[in-house]
Amino acid sequence: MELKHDIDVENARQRQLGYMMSAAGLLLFIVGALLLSRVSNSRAPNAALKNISPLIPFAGIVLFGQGLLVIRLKGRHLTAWFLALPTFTFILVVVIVPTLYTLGISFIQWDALVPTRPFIFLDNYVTLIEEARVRNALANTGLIAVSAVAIELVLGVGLAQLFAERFWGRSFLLSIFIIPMMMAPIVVGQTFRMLWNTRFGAINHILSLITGHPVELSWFGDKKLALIAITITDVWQWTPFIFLITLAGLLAINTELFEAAAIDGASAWQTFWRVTLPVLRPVLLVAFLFRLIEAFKIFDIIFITTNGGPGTSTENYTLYLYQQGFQFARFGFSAAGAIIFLIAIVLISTLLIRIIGET
Amino acid sequence: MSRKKEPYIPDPLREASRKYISGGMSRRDFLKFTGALGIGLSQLPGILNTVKAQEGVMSSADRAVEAAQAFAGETINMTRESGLQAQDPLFFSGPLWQELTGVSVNVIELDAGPPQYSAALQEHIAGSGAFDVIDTAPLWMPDYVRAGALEPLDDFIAEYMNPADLDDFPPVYKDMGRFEGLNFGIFDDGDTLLLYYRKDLFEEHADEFADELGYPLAPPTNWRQFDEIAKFFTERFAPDLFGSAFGRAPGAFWNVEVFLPHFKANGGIIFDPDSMDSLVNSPEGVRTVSEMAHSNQWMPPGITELTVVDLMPEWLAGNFAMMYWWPPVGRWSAGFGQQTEELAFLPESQVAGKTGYALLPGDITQMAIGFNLTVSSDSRNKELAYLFIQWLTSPEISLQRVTLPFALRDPYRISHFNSELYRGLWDDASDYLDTLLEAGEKASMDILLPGGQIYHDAIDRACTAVYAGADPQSAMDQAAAEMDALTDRLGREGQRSANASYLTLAGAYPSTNLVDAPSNLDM
Repeated sequence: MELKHDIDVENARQRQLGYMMSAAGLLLFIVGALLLSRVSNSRAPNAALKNISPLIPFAGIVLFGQGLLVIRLKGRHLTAWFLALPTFTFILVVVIVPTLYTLGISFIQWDALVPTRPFIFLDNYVTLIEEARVRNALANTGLIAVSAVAIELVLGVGLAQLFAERFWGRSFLLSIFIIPMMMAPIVVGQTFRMLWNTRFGAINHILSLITGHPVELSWFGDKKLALIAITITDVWQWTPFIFLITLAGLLAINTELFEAAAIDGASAWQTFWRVTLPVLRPVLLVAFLFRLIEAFKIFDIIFITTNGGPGTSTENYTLYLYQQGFQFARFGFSAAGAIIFLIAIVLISTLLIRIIGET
Repeated sequence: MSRKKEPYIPDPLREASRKYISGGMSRRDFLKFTGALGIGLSQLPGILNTVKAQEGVMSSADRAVEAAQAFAGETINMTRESGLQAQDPLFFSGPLWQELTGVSVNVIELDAGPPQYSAALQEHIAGSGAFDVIDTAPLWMPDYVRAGALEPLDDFIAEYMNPADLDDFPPVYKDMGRFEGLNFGIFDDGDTLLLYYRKDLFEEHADEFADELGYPLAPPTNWRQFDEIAKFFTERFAPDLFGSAFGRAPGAFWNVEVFLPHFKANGGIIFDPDSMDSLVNSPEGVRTVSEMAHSNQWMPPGITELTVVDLMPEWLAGNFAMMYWWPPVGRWSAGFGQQTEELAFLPESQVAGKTGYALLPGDITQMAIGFNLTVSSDSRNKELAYLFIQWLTSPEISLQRVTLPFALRDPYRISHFNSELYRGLWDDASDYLDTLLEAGEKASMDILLPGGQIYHDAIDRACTAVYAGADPQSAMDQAAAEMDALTDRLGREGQRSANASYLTLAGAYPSTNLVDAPSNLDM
């Protein structure tokens, strides 16, 4: 009876703490919302207040949610919760708060060239959808990402097949082949900017040697060639990633499977399609998922080689958002763009993860 | 008693000395005046010192130093484009200022272009007070003013600067630091582009060219002549020598600097002054961008991916007959300062003594970017920041700075162009300075309106799209639509008012006319 009484008292205290946290969260939300509204409509707001005001309502929401959690959790769960608190706090500060902050400013016309910061709700999102340049950037993003990753998959798997066998110099070549993915993309971009150069670049020079007549292709001056050059540069850097993951997967396959296929008289091609690929499928899907997400975010190579040009022919979504947000100080607009991008990436990742799970 | 022992100075000489000390008379005029009076050079320092002492006359530089000495021990944080631009405050003016005043200068280097543009806005939004002196392109200044990031300088100017210093500018540069009636910056870099051409090649092939084309080989006066000259050289000498080369790479904001003077010479108007609709997609705009794209065929292969920086070493190596660049190329072509450590990256000039200077066809050019020195409204010591600016831009200190071989600050005061010191730096430095002064009188200005950098970006992208084969009308329509969207975002009324101010500036629409001139499109 006494123990039950103690537990009841403890639960009551806990509920009390939860109610207090929720109430404080609610209060913080209301005060923050009022402050945000006041600052947004002020012509000369205090700089510090201007920056912190979108944060306060969201801090209120978080506190409110924490309060509800404390009310619901009991005993051991609460202890576990408090043990996880440092990690949670870190994620809160580094991931959740910035994301909520970004979400918050996506509803504001926060533009350094406009003196006020009115709350415009979804207008930034509507402008984004209506913007022809955004549609072009999305198309370029999809084109570069899908074509680059598809080529990387084919080449990566092919190379992995090759390296799955033992041969002289294999370890040395393996080390050489994975160097590109260890380089900073900005360095890769600068290097390839020189390699693709029309007059002095090694690529045109090699093509000239092969064809036997001078080749002066303007790789970054032609809209189609520029997309091809960027895709090839990305393929050069990231094929080793697919190759390495696939090789690890290949080496983990039970050799008995291949022996059984050989006894059944399967050709090498049949073994690859009917045995290797189905077994590798989960590994390939994981590699594909990682690479696709990264390819959608490609920035450095385009930034350093074409800066989106000529015109907007190689401008992708991240470059566009960077220019709008960090070069032209349209913070609200680019925040809305970032949120849409986040949602799209989460949806694609979820879909792929589900497929991987089913596999 | 002691006054009686000092030499007697006649009133006209006293007045001239006072004007010279206070920046109201150039060194050349002062020397002419004293020479006419039969006064030797060796006597001048004594006379000037006497007038200074007796009249209490101080130059703007001296006044700035005297006032700043009260702030000894403090530090000024100053932004500067990274690289050569930063060498002057790091190694010349910064240390000299510290020696004179006890105030140190912390130079914050920022990447050129949009990163430098946005850094000042971001620091202002954050309210960090990280910068005291902001080195800003006039193009960016309206945005900073509208954002409240800059301090008006009028009160400081009235208190500390000799008024004559404000008149020591060519017309285009004079109002670069003003926006909507107030002074927010003091102009500090005559970044006016020149057409550099090979005098030796033009002389060598004069007869052949005249026989073939029917007119003398000289700097082109219209774009058809420009292309004909370029074609003449490219067809004969490529790939060792190309007729012309302009930076055409996307994203480097250079195409717009070529488009603007060309467009204005073709009769183009950027904005309708009443509706503020962009008119870059007008027939003049389409003609301009088409003419620009047409010229590319006589330039080196891959020109549409080369920046101006890529081209400069090739010019010095003697690979082009004509090139359009900022003023430093004139100095580097002559080999001036190439022995300095800072310029060790440049190839040795093969065009020294062979370089001619001219404006673009239409007798126009572009004041491309340039710099104003401004005071941040978030600075904790605005007065000290201003005093530093006044000292840097004073006639005597700025002359020393623009003659530093490695710094990228280019002459901008009338007294710089008339300086005998500068005119004696290399054989034809006088021609260089005379052409630059002419440019300072005839140059077109950037779009000095709020959002100017973004308007520039829209035009620049349209140009590169046309080089890559896009339909000129569609590309310019897209640029105009983007510019209109920005105008709406910033508010048409405010933009109309800013444009009305812009139209009153000397370099907004220089009087030039290529409307009926032959076009290279008819070749």
